[in-house]
Amino acid sequence: MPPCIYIMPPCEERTENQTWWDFFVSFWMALMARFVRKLDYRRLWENPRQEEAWLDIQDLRADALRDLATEDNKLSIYEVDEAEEVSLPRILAALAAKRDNVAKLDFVHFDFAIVGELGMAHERVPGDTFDAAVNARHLDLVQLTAKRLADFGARIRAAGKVERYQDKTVERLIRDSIDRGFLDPTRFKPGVARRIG
Amino acid sequence: MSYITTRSDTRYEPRRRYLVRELLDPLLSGEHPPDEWMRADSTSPLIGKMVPTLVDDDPTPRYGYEPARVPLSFEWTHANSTSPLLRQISSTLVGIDLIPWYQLEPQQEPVIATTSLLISELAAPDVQRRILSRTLDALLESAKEERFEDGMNSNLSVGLRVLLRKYSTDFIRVLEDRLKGPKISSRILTEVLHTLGDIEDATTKGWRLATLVRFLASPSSIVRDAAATGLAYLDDKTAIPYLREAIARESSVAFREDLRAIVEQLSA
Repeated sequence: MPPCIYIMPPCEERTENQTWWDFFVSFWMALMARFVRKLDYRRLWENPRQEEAWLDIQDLRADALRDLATEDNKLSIYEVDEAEEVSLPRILAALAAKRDNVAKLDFVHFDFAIVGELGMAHERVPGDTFDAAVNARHLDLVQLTAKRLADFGARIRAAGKVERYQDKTVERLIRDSIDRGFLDPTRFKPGVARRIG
Repeated sequence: MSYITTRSDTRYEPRRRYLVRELLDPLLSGEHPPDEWMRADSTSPLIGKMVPTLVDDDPTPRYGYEPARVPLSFEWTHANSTSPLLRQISSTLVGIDLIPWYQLEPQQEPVIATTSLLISELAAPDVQRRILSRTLDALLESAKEERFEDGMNSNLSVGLRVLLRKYSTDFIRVLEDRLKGPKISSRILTEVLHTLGDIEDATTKGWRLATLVRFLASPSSIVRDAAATGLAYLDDKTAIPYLREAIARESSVAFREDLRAIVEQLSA
């Protein structure tokens, strides 16, 4: 198994009276760091259907690679960091708010350990949402090859959790992020601004 | 690509030649419009009738005349002109009005502007329908090169909105025929169905609801999903019974979850 690098919480974030249990939780959270990737076609990430005998349970439909479109052989993902208040809903709100319109949002969240197990290189680069804290949790998977990408897709499909938020739920998430001061509605595009009001 | 040329009908040839050579050619070469064109009373029924007869998609020289190419930027330059005449020519050439609220980057000009089709108010209904049909075909053809993302506008979604808004019932008939006709890929059909649900237009709502419901029974799970999502966007409670029927038919646990979420959303 290739060596894996996990993100440990910095020492200064630990509480003053940290117990061994707190340390264990921090270490466990680092090992179990979760990331999220936006998708567009949730149906393509489901288990094989009856009529799809040609599709292995551990494999990925080729069409699903549309949801893993790379740019310069890089793929964008975001880290969920509950300790820093960058929750999954907050990340999703940020991703949704920068679009042209409020629409349903499909996504997969997965254990970062998969990236390590596949030996995938990554870079911490700022994201481009309207939420600065979310942007700081952006990661690019880099030096991607077709095989690495397909393996990654198959692994996160099998081990990750693919979900969908309907458009009205997405609207609520965005409103919540506005109310908490994470998003500035004056930056929204007209379609989103009209819906949020 | 659109080209302006003259035709063989000699009855109207002199007027066409004048229109093309004296008025349109200089304009297409980027010359500043003549002052008389900028007057508020400069609309011309003659031009409204004549211009559609001059434009087609054939670049070959005819009758000793080299067709002038209508640049893609022509519409954008003149559609908002202070000259009613230029606006008239511009909209006649392309056949759509600009949507003031939709700000397009120059490189995102709708594919409708690239077709050679004219949707003149003066055209006979069957001609208009044929033109709408060809416009839709051009949109769908161009969609093969597009990438679609949830929540993002596309040439296809903008084009459909424009055509439905401007041509309403006439365009519905054309779209209905096309959706029943030769197979459209599930990827493109997804974008069509999402757009049908997301349009805000009372005139076409009933038809859009019925169309989305019909696609709930598609053999493709991708298309069924798109239809269900379109119904969520449409936000009409009358879709609930149809969604419940779809839940009963659906074998995928995850898909049933999504359908129930839509029913819950519509019921709220």
